Amino acid sequence: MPKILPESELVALLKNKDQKGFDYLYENYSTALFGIINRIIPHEDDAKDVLQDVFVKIWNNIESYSPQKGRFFTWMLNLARNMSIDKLRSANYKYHNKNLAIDDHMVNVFDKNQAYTENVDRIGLRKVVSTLRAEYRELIELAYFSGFTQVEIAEKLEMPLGTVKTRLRSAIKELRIKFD
Amino acid sequence: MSIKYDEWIPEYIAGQLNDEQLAEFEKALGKNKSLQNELNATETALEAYAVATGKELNDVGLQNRIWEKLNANNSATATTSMLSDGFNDEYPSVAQEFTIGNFMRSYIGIAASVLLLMSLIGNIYLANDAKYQKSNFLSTLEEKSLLQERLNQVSSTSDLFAQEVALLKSPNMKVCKLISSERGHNNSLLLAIDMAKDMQVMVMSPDLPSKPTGHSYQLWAISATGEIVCMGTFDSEKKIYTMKKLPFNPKEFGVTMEEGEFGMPQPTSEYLVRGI
Repeated sequence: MPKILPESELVALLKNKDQKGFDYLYENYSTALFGIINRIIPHEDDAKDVLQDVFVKIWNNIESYSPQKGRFFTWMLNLARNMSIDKLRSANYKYHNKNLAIDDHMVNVFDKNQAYTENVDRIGLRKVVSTLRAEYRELIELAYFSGFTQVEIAEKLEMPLGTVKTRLRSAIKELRIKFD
Repeated sequence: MSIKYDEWIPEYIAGQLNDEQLAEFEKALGKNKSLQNELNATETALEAYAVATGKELNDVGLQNRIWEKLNANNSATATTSMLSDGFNDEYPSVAQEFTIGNFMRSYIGIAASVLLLMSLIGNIYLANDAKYQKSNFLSTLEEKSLLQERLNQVSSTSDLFAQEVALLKSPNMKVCKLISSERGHNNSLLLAIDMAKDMQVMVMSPDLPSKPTGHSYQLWAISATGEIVCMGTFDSEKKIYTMKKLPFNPKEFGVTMEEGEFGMPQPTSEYLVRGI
């Protein structure tokens, strides 16, 4: 996990349009952002296009990020997820991928996660994730990485909304304990 | 920390609070250190999760390509800014300085004014050139917009197809085909029933005989006890129609052609297609 440069310094570099800021951003966050995008856009070349657009948006809109409202990564995660969903729903994307349905993409999420290329730096973190209960992992994936609302999760998993809320809180609690 | 705000953290991170809740949460966040810590701890755990489940980019040149794109983007912004500055700010200020009073005041003034005049002519030339470039730039944008519009129109047909395929492939959908009950007729349509949405019925790809003006097709659900319920009316111009939700598990569906836009309370003609 990127820890060397504090978020505040990275944000300051990006606000100054300093190439060092971009290089640090790319080297430390592109893998995580690409993972988020590729969950929703399975075709790698299309996912790379979205990744480029995400970097451009981060670069151009860095002034709108406010540290008082949350962590920088969460801001980028929401940008990446929303831009991927926009791409998936765009007329041009559908035109080229007319046989792909959103449900197909979501089914791929869990299969693809099993086949990530191993990276030495991430092996420890991946081990931690692998100890997370499957049902909790599914909830975290749907809620934070696939853009499902809690109501949609309740419909998809055929469980009451209250149960989704409770289990999602438990999932986060367990995740926090594991990464603590 | 308020339990309410604690419970809102997952939705806040996922960007799913409504505007009112968002304003309230952010207000509380500004005042409440404990809430800030809770949020930060949750976000940090999710960040670690995202990094752990990230995907390697096997593309050595991508970083440079993105950097070039960012630079190109910055240059484009600078060019646009230069064009608008040239028209709105610099040109009028030069014109205001060139007055007859300045010209008459002294030879120094004359010399200065001549220099100013030369500068003005230069500015007019540059401004015209920039204006030409700007109009070309706008014309390219307009052409691009027109092309995009045309592309969207072409895409809309395939959008409908994709939408239909997506509906049919959804695991929550039950699909049945209604066919003509008469020999020699090839009429048909598909019915998709969304089991996740209280058995919402959709009519897809109706292929029915042409109907006279002032008539409509009407879909009926027929129960095992013979009860017949109207599920709505439709024409055959669109690919997909959303009908009513099913009130019971039907024995059969049927479609009739009825007078009026809103159909009849009960079928008054033979079924054109039927099935389950």
